Amino acid sequence: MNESLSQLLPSEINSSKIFLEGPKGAGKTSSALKYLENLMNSSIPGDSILILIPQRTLGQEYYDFIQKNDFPGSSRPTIVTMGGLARRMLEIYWPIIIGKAGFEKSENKPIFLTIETAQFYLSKIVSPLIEKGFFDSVKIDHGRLLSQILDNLNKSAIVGFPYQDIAERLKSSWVGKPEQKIVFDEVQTCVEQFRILCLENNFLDFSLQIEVFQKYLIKQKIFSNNFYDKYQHLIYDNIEEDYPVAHQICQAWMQDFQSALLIYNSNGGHRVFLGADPQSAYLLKNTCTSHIQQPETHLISKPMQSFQTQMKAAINQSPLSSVDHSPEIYQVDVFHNFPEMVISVCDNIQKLVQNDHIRPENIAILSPYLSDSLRFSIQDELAKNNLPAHAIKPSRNLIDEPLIKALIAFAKLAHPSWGMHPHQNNIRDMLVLFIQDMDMVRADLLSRIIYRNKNDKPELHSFDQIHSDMQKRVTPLIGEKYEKIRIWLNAYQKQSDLPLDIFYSRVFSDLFSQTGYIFQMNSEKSELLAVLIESIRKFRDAINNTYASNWTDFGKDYIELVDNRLIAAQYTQSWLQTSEQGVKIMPATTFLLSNRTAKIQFWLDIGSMGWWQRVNQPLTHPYVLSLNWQENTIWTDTHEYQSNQKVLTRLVNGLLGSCTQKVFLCVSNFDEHGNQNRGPLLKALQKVLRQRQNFRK
Amino acid sequence: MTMFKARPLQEIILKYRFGKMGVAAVPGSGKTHTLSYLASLLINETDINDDQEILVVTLVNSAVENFSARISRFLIEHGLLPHLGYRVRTLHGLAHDIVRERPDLVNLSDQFQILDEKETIDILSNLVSTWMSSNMDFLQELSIDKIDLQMDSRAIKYWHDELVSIASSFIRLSKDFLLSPLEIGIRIEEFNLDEPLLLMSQKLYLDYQKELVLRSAVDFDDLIRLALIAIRSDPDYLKRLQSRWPYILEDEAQDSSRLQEIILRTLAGNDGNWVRVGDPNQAIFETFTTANPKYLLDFRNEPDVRSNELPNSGRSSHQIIELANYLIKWSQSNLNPIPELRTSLNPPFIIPTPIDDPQPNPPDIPNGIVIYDKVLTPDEEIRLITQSVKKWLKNNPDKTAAILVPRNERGAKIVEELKNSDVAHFELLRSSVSTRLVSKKLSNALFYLSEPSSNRKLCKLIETLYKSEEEDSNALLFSSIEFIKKLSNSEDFLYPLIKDELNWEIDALNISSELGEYLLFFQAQINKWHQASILPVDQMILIIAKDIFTNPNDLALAHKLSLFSRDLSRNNQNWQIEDFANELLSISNNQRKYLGFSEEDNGFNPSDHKGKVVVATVHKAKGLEWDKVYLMSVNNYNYPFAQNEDGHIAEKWFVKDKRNLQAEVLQKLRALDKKDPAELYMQNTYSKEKDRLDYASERLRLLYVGITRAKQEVVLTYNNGRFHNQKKSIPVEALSDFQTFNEIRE
Repeated sequence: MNESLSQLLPSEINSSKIFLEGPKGAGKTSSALKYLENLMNSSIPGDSILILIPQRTLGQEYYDFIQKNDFPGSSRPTIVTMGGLARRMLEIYWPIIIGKAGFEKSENKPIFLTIETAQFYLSKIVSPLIEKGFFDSVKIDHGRLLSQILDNLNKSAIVGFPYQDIAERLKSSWVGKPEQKIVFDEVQTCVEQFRILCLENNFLDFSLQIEVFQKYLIKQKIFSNNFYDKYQHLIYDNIEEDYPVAHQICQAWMQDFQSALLIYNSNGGHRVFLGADPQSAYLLKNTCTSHIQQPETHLISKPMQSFQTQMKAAINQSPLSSVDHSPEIYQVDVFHNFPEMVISVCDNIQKLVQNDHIRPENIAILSPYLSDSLRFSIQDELAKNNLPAHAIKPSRNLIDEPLIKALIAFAKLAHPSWGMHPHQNNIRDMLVLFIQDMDMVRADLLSRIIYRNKNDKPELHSFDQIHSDMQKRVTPLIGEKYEKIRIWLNAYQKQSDLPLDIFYSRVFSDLFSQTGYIFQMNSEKSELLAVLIESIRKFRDAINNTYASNWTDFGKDYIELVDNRLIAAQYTQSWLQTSEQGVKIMPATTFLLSNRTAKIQFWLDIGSMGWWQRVNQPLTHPYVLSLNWQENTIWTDTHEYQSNQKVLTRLVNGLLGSCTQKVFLCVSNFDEHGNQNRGPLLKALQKVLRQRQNFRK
Repeated sequence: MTMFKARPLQEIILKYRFGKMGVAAVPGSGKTHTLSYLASLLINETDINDDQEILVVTLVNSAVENFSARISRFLIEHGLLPHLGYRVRTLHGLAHDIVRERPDLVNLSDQFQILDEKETIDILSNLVSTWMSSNMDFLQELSIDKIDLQMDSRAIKYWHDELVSIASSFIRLSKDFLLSPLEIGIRIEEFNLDEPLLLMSQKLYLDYQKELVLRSAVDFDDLIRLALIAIRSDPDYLKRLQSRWPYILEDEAQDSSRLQEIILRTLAGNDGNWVRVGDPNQAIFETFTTANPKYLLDFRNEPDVRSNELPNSGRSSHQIIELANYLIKWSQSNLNPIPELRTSLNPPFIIPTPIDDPQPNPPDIPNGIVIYDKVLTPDEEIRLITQSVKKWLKNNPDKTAAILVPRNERGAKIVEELKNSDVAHFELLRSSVSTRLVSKKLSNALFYLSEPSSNRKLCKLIETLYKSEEEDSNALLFSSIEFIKKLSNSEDFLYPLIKDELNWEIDALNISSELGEYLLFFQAQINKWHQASILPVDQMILIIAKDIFTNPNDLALAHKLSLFSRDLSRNNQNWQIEDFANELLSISNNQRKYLGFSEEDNGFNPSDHKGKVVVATVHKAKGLEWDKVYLMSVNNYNYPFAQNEDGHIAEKWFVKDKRNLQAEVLQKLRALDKKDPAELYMQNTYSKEKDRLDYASERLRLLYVGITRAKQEVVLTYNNGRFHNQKKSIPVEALSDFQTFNEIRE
């Protein structure tokens, strides 16, 4: 524990307001855990402690601590994000704010929308508008279009400006052709119609949750009394990664907490494009009584720190100091083609694991983008050497999982009234995946014979009806298993449709968990099915009212969302992240957002502009919709350049700051798409290398 | 300058350090070499910093790597690091860079796709079909009397292709004028125009752009238009790019389009550093694009532009140089019967290299120029050339040769004959051989996986993947295939019901252990691919590729193809494996241009193909040279000279009065762009003759390009066409006379 922090006596601990500041690796969170321990040792009940974090993954160390110390459930501190807190509180205090916040159905409960359900409802508004010519001038896929419209609403809520101003803000900063401004008006129309829909139906999307919480709920006396009655102590970690409204709420609360520890990572701010605001976070320092700095990082070696400093200077075109970096901390590898780079990286990992006894989980492969092809290539290459690998890609879709795809095809087959008839290939893949010991050749033969889709009526024929020679080829054993599926489907089709999640539960229990089918004794695959069922259930919970038990339409709509790739990360992420084993493969920003460290880092394709450039969103703007943006200022390339420079500096600083042993910098002459890239990161490295050469000369 | 011994006139170019310079360079004058060396000198001798680059803009992808490699080599010789301090791009590559860095300025998401020519034509083709279905009466009116569209499906197909071609040109030119379909619509209304073809083109353009929006995609022409919009939108962005590229060196500037010139002029700025090198006599892309040599000619005449020439060429023998120069002289003289075509070719004339030049001209040889005078049918011409090439290659195994054809279709025919006659050859077509081979292997694998129970497809796949070029080493492969064929049910081979059944079978049939191992290898590999076939298409391709390719370039291409297939799957959610197989097949069948990673993709070197004859279109041969060149089909259809009896490819036989509909529509579009009421309202402002002259002018330059590809020998032949009514082109006739005169003189 930090000197100054440890000097606080228990009596002082529970009455002080501390602002703790330092870079990553300085031991801030360890100090906070010690602080938490002290709090609890001084007879402060655990459940009076509120631990705020900007995203759930950043609370891992607190969860682990509480788990380890085995606090009884009732006295456990609350670990929550501001959004999570808002939702919990709105659920409790709904009756007292419903009238005030403009919701129309005062007798009904709130319906909290997930990202998927919000997109679903928004889609119902946007699709007819697109038919009328909205967004004609924008080249963007439907999923991104929806998510960017919602992003605007969320930004207005977390930054704290009226959502009615979204278009004006975006338009007044627009530097391009004036006729392109129309898209922002179109966004505004969608946003306003969506808000009306939410208010009419008691829907609370993320933006409304934050807005109602901040504008109405926390101002209610009954809420404040109860809130401060419950929570007297606050620990707020990584405040720099949270958004301005969270800071404003915290500021309002500070005087009423008995004690508070606010922790600020001085080289954080990686979530700026998600609305994080390190500047407004830093202002919270004024609400604290003491200010402690932990300026030294203990995580990385001195040579790595020196390399980090050189790279930052090179990116920012500052003079470089004369240093001869040890080759032990970084290595530059140059390749002609992308796959050559991937193969070499995997070979290097094999050597590191075998010869240097580095554990795979201490290795991270980082790239600016992670295409499925790249992820798959790396995993496949590592698997050759039996090296486990674990990819984290936030935008992976459910439909990309073959088993999910087959389950979707199965649901389509079971519900012919949807009019979404599977192709023979889908039936073949289903048979291979669902029936144990089924091979691709026999599945192909069988599906070609038994599946008919005449006059738009899909039909599975009985195995008994097919020619005996063919029966022999497919084998009677497989025929028997197939027949069970067919009979089940026939029986199901005779009754009325079940809710889709219940349908899958039935499929599992009646059929595929039985001997001879896929889920029997296969926990990994069962887990996937559980993910799908969970996703549907949450979806159903959120939109129950819309369908009034019309499960046919519900199932069809859900399946369409999956087909259209709108059901993505949120549910799948949980299973993507279940395993912490193996080499990590992820976009560099995701690595930083999850607050990880790695002994060894591989940076792929450092010539890529993706290391420098922000993700472009034509319908929204992370900087223009931020707190510090001055209205009516035009966002020019100078702003773009400066913000990209900052992003790259922060990224390089953060990555090297979490690399405890060595970084491999990999250059590929051609990127995945065959383009030649020589972006700012490569150029900065070139400067550092040239400086080293000059120094040696 | 130890590494590059420059000629005096090259020295002048190499002394360039700032300002604007225009250089007219004759064929073989070493302009690529000079420009590359100049780039290296600018990096070495000026004070450009680490973040700046010399921007080299060239015409085709194959030249990019060529430039890049040369500059890198010079940099190493200067003691500098290679690959840094410069960027070589085609105009599309440059536009892509500009747009990709600031897609927000042009309302693109950062994952926008670029559709290739095939995809855009597919979209247009569908739109045209829809349009035709409700406009048959109009097309019937435009058709010649003997065509009844109700009965004649062939004529419908002709019309379909013609309308696709009209729409495609209309869209391209509209984009060059920066006119959106809506803007064109407004102008049509403004001028109250009721021209069905114009209205059709505008509608197709509008619908086409909507289709692109649906796909989150742009086409190649959009890229250029959007790049210009991006740099015009944000002055700061322009300033940053101007700072990044303090020098612009432009090669093949004679083929610069209007937008290319505007973009480069904008990037260079008023006081910028811009060198444009080109040969107006080699401008051969006007018909297909909006390129025009006048931009280079006008540039050279601007007051602040230093104008230089590179007239020395060591490429060809003196007699070939004389022939090429004669073509220029003849075209400018009174001997040329068409006065309007007397400015199509212009000096500088080609001057042989001085004595002691490192690249001396090859010596003249007897019969170095043959202009075959006898009338041939198209088939006779092909047979004659095939026999001649066969004989020549036998006698000259260490030399290079090419057959240059006016169009791809003619190339396919000669290739067929070369194959039948066992003549070693190499096709220089849309995609490289290795790209096509990789695509072919992958498409065959996918075709098989679309029907894994097909024994026939399995055998075909195994043969495609593993057949060696050396016939002798294929015995084992054929035995394996025979074995699989005999089994008739592929599950018996791939998934025998009893474990080790295949081993028993092998034992029972007394098969050699070598063949047995071969079979077990196939079994394991195919089983693995079956498992992969349920994965998303990109992952399936990667798994297969890793098993069948070892060459890094092939693997890189397979990776690129996997991303390409992934994009296709996003736009076509119902596609099955077979659909992806068909897309890959279109690359392997050369229906679609696709850039791979092989040497051929990034720069073709004729001397790597000694002992073989290269077959290419004259367009594709630009920038290349061979010891012997056969220039085929130089008749008045392929090289018309604005004569009534000439064939005019744009004047379709099925259109009443042989109207050139495409030219008519484009003329209206030009008038709309200028908002010129005279051209819009006056009757008969369209002149068929003008189009014929423009086309003849370009074909004359194409002839010049063809001749100047030859180092020591050139053979020109012509045929009388499908209906035996074509004759020797007028300029070729003039060359014949010149040749005869020379022979008599000698």
